[in-house]
Amino acid sequence: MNISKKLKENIETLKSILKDCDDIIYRKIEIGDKDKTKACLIFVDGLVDKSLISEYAIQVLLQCTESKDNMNINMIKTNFLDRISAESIAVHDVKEEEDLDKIVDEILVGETALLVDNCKKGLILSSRGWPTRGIAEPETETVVRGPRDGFGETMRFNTALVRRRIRDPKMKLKATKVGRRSKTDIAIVYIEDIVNEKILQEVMKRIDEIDIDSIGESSTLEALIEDDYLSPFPQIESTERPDAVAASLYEGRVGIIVDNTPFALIVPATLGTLFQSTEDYYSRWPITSVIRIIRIICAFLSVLAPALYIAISSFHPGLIPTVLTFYLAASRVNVPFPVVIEAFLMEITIEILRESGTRIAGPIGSTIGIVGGLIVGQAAVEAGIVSPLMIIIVAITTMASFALPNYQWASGLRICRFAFMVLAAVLGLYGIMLGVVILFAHFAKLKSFGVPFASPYSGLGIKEGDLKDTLIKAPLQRLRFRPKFTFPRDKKRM
Amino acid sequence: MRRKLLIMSIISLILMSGCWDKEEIEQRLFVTDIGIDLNEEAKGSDVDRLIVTYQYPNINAIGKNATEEQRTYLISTISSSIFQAGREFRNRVPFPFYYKHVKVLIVGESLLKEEELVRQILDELNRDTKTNKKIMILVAEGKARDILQANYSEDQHTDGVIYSSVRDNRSSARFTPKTLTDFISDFDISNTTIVPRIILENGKFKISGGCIIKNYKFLEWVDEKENRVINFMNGEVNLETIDVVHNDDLIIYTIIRGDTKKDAYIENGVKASINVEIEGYLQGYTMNDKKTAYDNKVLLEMENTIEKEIKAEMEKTIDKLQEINADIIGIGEHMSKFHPRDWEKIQDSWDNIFPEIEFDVTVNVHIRRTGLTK
Amino acid sequence: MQRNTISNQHIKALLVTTIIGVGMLSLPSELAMILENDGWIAIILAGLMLIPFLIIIDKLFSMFPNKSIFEIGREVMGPTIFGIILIIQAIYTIIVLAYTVRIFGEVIKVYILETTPIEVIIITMLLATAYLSRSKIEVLGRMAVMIYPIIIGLVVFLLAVTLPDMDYTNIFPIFNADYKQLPRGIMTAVFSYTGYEIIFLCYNYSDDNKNTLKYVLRGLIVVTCVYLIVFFTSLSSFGIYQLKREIWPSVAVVKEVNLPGYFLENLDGIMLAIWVIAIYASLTSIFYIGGAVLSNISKTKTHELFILPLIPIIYTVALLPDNLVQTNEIMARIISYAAIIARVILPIIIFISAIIRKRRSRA
Repeated sequence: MNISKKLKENIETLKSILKDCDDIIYRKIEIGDKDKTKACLIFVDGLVDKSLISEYAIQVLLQCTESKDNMNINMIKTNFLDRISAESIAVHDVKEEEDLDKIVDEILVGETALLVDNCKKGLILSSRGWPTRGIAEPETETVVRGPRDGFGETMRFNTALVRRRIRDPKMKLKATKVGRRSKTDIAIVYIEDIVNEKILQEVMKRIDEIDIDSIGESSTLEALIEDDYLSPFPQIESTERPDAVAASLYEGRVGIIVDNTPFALIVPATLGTLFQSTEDYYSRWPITSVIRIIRIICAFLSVLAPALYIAISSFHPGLIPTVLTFYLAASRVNVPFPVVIEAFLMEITIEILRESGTRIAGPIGSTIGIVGGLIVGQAAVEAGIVSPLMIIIVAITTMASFALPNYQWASGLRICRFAFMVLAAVLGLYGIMLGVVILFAHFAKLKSFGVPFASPYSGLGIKEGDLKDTLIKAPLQRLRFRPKFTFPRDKKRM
Repeated sequence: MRRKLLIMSIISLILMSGCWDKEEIEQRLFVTDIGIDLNEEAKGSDVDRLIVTYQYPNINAIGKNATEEQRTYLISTISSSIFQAGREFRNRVPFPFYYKHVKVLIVGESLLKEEELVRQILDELNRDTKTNKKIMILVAEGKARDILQANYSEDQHTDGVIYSSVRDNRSSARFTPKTLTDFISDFDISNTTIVPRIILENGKFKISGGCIIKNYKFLEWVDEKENRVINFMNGEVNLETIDVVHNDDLIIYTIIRGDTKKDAYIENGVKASINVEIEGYLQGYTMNDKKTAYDNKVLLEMENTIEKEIKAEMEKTIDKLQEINADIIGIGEHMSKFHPRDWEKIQDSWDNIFPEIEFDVTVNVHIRRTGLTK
Repeated sequence: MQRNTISNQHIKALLVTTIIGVGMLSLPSELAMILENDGWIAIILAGLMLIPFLIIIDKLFSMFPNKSIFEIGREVMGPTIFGIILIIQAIYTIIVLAYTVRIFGEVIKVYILETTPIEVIIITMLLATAYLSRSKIEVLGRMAVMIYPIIIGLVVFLLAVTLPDMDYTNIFPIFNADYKQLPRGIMTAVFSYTGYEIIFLCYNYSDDNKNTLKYVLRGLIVVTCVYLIVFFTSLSSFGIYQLKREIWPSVAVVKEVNLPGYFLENLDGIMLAIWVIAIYASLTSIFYIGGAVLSNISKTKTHELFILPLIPIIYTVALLPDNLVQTNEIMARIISYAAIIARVILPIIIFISAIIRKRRSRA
């Protein structure tokens, strides 16, 4: 709906659209000396940088001596609005707009609308400014060595952090809004001559197809654009670190930065990348290689350890050396529950502990962990309800799942752990192997935006040496080519 | 819709089924030693032919939180076979038996006199899926049950003392450990095998020497020295110490390594040659300033003495073996592998040929080191 | 990234993982019974025999670039005759699947799960197989590449743990066998190469047609080496007599391993666990072949529709024999003879027909 020429009408319309929104401010001013032109600034209190509006818009306009009917032939601009925006208004970005709905959108984003009487268009002054956290260290991904800046909740600042690391004009940033009501800003970032066209187009297509009323967090976006939403495993990575996003862009992947959340998305994600963490690239290569292999072992442990314990003690005590068997049996004497129940009990207890540790904030939170571990674990063993070996296994499993760098991936594996425990309880070792084989089949089937999820272990890139950067970490001098799984256009790195 | 059906059918399948093989680990009895004896009173009867003894550990007595003192339990019954005994014991014990950790099988000497019975027992063990074929076989001089009984209240390893003693003969050649696999394959190849002998001495067990079994039947006892020599000839020289008198002094010589080469050929009858190379060091001589072992000549003399001694022992043992007609030393096996055409010709009359074989034994001893002093 | 092509690496991995399956367990024993210590000759000869067939297939596909085997067959032999061939192939596939899954169930029952009913083992395995078989060939290829190092690792593991206890002299006497038995031995060995039909279905989807033959030959050499290693370790550990007695020597060998100093005992569990993976890979490939053949006979677009209905059929056939001996006698024999038809005669017929057709069209 277009603006009318009369300021009063416009303000009426705006007030009716924005009825009961008591945080909208209508600042009426009069511009000019002799014939004062009426104007009104409309903005949301709390979303605008008030000093900017006061100094660079209101003050300037109040001091402006322009008159609407000034017809000096020497003037370059004839349009009143153009004149005041070019010569008076000191705000860094000014746009013209004639659609009232769009003006409302802009106001709600935090821009200020300047409506002038007898003008067909309105001006949108860029005045966004709201309380932010400032740059803080990302809490979920800390490193020993490396930058400690993390994303904030403002998309623009986040994209700036990425831009700082890629000062190439080929780094492109496409901004769109997603969500009917939330109109969340998102930015798709990529490096034009490295990225694979097909992945990029697929990303854009899927984002365009979204029809939902709000995107609360990037995880909502993730859920809407991923390949297989029924799978427990993530097919898109999320990170709080701008250096992670920048590094992924250099590999030929696409980043999606979403407003209102510090978690940016990186597309595509594969088995290889889910085991990598940014710290790998800041440490020396021998230790990183060892740690990467340990991570894979941890993935197996976190899924299989309780299930193996159940299978071996209930079904096949013949599969472990005799000495171990007897100690196992001795440790379980007089324990009232069968192994299956014991295992499930302990696993559920650990999940409860985990959840309660996350909910409780501050100093009490860490104490809960210690207290919980002590009370539940130690006392249960003393009381003879649970065997000590079970506690050890559950502890190892939990710690193994924390050792994985990607939290979603670890969570997906946690779910599988329960399924494996059920399988082990019914069919023993054979059940576990069935589960393993179905899991592998699932990995083989899964794709992430056209890239097979199980790369590079499933063939793509083995010849090209992708394993050099996923299974272990080769020294930087050997990693001259970018990883193949995204089929980047510019293959050479060094 | 189809996917839902699939998922539901899978879940219901899993939930409806029972867990058939599930048995809690502390509710199993792990048999570690089995003893078999011939039931002499019931000779001829198929059902009561054996006395079977099981030994299994007391779980409550293992580990840090041991609540009981008695380490193992022993039960015994009359039965027709090893696994049948397990079923018969079931009325007396709280839990089912689990056989995958059986380590030792002790056979009473009387049992070995019945060839058919031995064949049947061996087949039972060979065919069975529940036992490991790495069971050590021992022959008891007397009754197996008595030996297990004596062992019963001793301090135990988790694996069992008998097993720990017998499994690894790297440090002694007084007996030749035999697993079930080797036992059976020895019969296949040369019809004879040697098995360690276990005896009771002063209430404790002792594994000394062996027992030669031929054609699934007991043949002859072999004492420790003979066993040692047989080991040499089979190429299994282990750490052993030999006492030899040299110039009125007793030399103690420890063997580290040995290498045996056998050969057999037909030339005016079958001839065999055994050549043993032994390396070792001087363990003990005498503290006498006039007698030093650091002299090459002295060492050579010592080597000669030791060679003579070992060669004499070997020849004596070979004579004994030829007398009892037991080809333990693997001459037949060697021929069947390396001279198959010749072996085919004489295979059937091996029993007649073996006692007539001319043996040529050579021993080569090297004293490589004399220890720390001269 | 691209649709409808798989890399040569995938083809090679598919070949190796499909062939190494149930045949591996009893192969040494069967060969020892026929050829004594010289069973390995049969393995090598059987492998060599397959090479000309691979070359024929390569030539066939290069004559009709980018056409699937079904299209080629229909073109070359006429739809009716080819339809009959396809039906034979489908029945053959069902029998192979039933046999494999039955033997698999028997082995699991003997070593791991004694009292669990074999029906449960078979059904769960078939359902798990169906999950993967319903996908495209590229997914199967990816799965094969993931599994390939595991299988090779298993064989290396087998070798490593049995090495200390092996008795090399058990391999002798060599070259002492009855050579009249050689054809029988080769037939037995060829039976263990079941599964190489997967080549027919994925050859034309390769993204680099010139080098496919090289990869496929490498795969065949790998399979032959694996079987040789298995044979020699079994022979060295057991000696020829016991080897003839054991039904599944490969597993028994690992059961034998007892190095208490190194804490390695009772390793048959690990070996069987990984063997389950190998069997799964074989089953999914062959299942896929069955589905693809059936879908082609009935001219449907995807093979997915046929996978699930096949499960009850395979289940019934698998449970037909009463015991292991019957399974081996009846089914194995059928498969051996049908294998010759399906794998040897068919490619030759198709090839010759193709040459004739080409000559006719040229003239």
